Amino acid sequence: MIARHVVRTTPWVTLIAGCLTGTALLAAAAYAAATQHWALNQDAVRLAFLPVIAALAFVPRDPFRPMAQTAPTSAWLTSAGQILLTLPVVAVTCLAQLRLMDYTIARLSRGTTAHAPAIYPLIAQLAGWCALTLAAAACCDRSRYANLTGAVAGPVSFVIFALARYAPRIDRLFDAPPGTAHAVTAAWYIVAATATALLVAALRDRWQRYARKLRLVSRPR
Amino acid sequence: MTADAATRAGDASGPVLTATRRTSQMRIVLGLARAEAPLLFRSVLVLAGMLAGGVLVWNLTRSAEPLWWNTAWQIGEGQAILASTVLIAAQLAAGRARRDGLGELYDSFPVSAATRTAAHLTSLIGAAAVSVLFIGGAAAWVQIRGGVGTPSAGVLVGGVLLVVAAGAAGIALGARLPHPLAGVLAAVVVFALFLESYRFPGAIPWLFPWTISGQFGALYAPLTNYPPGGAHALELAGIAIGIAAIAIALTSDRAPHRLWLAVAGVLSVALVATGVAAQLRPIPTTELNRLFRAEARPSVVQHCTTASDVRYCLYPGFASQLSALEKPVNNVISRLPARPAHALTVAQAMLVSPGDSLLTHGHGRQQLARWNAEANAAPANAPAASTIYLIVGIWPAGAALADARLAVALGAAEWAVNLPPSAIGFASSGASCVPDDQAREAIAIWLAITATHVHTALQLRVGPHGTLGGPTSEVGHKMIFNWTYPGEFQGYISSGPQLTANGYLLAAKMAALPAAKVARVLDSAWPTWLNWRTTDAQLARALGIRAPDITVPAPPKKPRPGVTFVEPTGPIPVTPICAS
Amino acid sequence: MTVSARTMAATVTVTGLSRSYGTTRALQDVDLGFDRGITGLLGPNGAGKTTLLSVLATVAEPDAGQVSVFGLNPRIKAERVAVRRRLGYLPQELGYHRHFTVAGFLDYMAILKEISDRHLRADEVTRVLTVTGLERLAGKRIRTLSGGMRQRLGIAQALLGSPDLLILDEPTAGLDPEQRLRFRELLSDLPGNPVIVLSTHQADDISAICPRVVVLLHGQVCFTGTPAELATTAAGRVWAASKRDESVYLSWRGGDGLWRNIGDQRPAGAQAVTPTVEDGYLLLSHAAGAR
Repeated sequence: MIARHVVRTTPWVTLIAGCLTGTALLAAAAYAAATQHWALNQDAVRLAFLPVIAALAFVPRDPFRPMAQTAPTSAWLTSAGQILLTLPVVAVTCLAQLRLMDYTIARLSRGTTAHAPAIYPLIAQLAGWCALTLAAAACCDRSRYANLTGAVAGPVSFVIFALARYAPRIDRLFDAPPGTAHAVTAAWYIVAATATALLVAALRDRWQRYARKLRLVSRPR
Repeated sequence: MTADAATRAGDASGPVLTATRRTSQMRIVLGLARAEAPLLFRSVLVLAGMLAGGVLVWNLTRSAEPLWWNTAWQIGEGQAILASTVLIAAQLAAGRARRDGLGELYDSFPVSAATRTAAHLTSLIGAAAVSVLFIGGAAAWVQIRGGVGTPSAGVLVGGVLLVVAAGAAGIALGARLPHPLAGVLAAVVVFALFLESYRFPGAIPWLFPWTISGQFGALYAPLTNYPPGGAHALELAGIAIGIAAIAIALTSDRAPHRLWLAVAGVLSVALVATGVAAQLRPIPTTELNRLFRAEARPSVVQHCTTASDVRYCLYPGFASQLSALEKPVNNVISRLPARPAHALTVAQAMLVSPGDSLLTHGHGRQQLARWNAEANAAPANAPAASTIYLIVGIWPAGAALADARLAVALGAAEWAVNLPPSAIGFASSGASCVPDDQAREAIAIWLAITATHVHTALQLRVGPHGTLGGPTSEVGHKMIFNWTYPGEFQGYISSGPQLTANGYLLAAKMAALPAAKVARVLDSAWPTWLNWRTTDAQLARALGIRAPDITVPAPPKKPRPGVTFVEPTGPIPVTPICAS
Repeated sequence: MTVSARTMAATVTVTGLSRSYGTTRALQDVDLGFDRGITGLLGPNGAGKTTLLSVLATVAEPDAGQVSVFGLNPRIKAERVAVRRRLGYLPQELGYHRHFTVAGFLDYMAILKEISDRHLRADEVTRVLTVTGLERLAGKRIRTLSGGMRQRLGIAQALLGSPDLLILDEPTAGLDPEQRLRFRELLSDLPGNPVIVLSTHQADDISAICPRVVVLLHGQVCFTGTPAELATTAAGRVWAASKRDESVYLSWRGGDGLWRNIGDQRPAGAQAVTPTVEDGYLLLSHAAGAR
């Protein structure tokens, strides 16, 4: 019953703006790569995915929460529904960007037997990014920065990504090389799972909500 | 408060306010700017940008000796991060009224939208102050670590202008698009441009808000007007003025403003055009001739000193490295029973490629071919056995200095035991030999360990991650484990032979023995130990210890699940044994 | 309804004012004059009150008609700015800069009202804080304030600069009864006897403080006059009874348990009562709805 409401209140314009910006950036880079004979690498996809992440940071925001959490239906359903609706859009964007990268690599390596590095660690990393960002946004939505949400959650997420990439010792866990593809993949899926758990905790209804069932009031005579 | 008191208070202020109501727009702008600047200065985003930028600069500069003509640009990279967050913060500030539902109220005020925009632009002084603090802190950090050369004011000012221009862009964006995503997306796009600028050929990267180049640090000194800090600052100033004019134009509907905006637009175009023209201008041939001559014949510009019969040749400005070089070399020499006949030279070498179009754009193919020939003639391409080359721009600072000292000591030790060096220049193949099962290898490593007082053997790892599953080389018909010492892949010095795990393990055992005992054994038959045919076992027997013998296990017949063997597409190179 | 005599730089007049939003005509040919003192604007949701107030506040441009504020024509840019210098406005839905402090917000608004002298501004901020009873909250962040306190803050910003024209759109929304009393006192004691136009749903406020009341229905002026005159329009048409009567226009149960009925004919067993401003207004709006 609330599906229609969830669809209507999902910030589609914001999300699609972010997805299109990132894909357009990558398309421009792919065009430059094709004319100048170099290939896009996974770093280019990571860069192009940042606008998607920025848009995703604006999704877990429920301005009706103060009212919705007094209703019998759980207030988190709306936010959860919005997040679930946005995931296919993000997945399609990711697929499109990987295709673009693949196209430039295929162009450049035509006639050779060179193999591109495996992309499953990259997919795991992007999944981890998405989960981290959603969790950060959900936490922001419960803080005093609730009116800014994505403007704070986005940069916070970027800082976390940068730390995972460049901080000494930490980069061995989350970047291959120096880490191995399998280890990095596992690490990012663990991060995604942890971030998802944090997201679920952040979306839950506030403590004011009664945990016990109310007794039914006596019926009027 | 009673109604009477309220009335009295109101009567007192009414006439005064009416008299001062009509005041200059400038005072209004300054008043608003004074209110906005602290908000920007104390913004969580701006502070986070400063922190992240600082971490980036620290990461870039912590491990390498700072060369100001390179480090100033690296400080600018940190400013690029700060600029991104200032863009977001400025966009949020400019769009605050509409975003917070105060648009209608603001429209009812006598202060116009254009005046408010001007105030936001003036408040960027707060961001500029953050930027100056950033630069001050970074510059102090660099100087403490012994920066070589002097900082370019043009480059450092360019960083401040970058932040101001980004803030202006944020304000222009916020005037039309108050949604926070607009600022975040713009910051990501700007940052992406900065990261990818290097891909463009010629001098085009200079036109981007900021650019990075690995070759700045490889120079022994800045060239005249290269990197073009002043011209880039001009371009950024023009961009900042232009964007500010656009921001006001978007919010102004007064005809007198249009004149000033037109003037600002013309000024902006003039500044940008001047800056772009200066940056796109090819570096004069005389300057590049001087650079590649200094690479091919460094003795022309280097200052050489001799200490303890070792010659040290450094480019001007690098004299501070001398003490860091002398100590490990002297420590190695003091442990030698006898010195080789050929004297040791420790010299800096430059590795600058004429193929970098950012450096040599605008010059013809013939000229490039001449410079290539000069670069290929650099001494690092065919190093003498008695020379250790220190690559400019890679010498470390801080904790990594210990690794560099070990590398220098190892280089001196390899000279002492007649192990051949490898070439590192652009014309070299980079191939090296392996002194497999040669006593002199263990002696060289022992000399380096004891000269640099590296007591803990665990500090020297056999392979990556401290395991014996590390890189291997094929020598003859067998595979052997290599030994990689800390800092080996940093390239502090020209490389020597590929050392082995067995050699290291024997040297580590030697280091655990009394120094006098080892010295006695080495003294007793020094020429024998230097012979490439003398084995580890012979040395170990003479020292009364057991020779290590680690062999590489054969590959499994059946691969583990999830493991794929990739067949090589060509012949596997076989590393030769050092047989001289 | 007659237009008040136009007095240069002393009154506010609108003549033939029309404004539409798409196909919805928010105001149709409105003729009104506002003299110094308080004028209340009554009307149901969608009557055009907010539109009228936003036109007077120079934030909305009328589609047709003339507006004159102290002899100034807001259609002319320079005169519009001059109007705004003498204006205090409280919109119906006012947002806030949540991270600002109360004093910081008022200081910012004071600058936007061209009070550029720092000391004068500080004095003015202190004055409006005191007048609205917010002096103890000066350092508090706006996000920590209750709804009523935010409403008082909105009133405070409107009072900055002692404006000659005060436009207040539902200023008592969210105020508790004591605060509403204080608000009425505040309005009554404002220096300079400004022109005050306020819209409200609370007939009590009209009765208590407004010497004049205008009733807007469907974008048109249905009544102008005193509250007593508005009440008089319902004379002889308001009765109290022990039960609801189906034949009347409106009927509701009061706090005393009796049903108040408004209609053309007296219900059986009902007694006539003195009509109030609310009664007059309800009768008017019912009549307009029937048309």
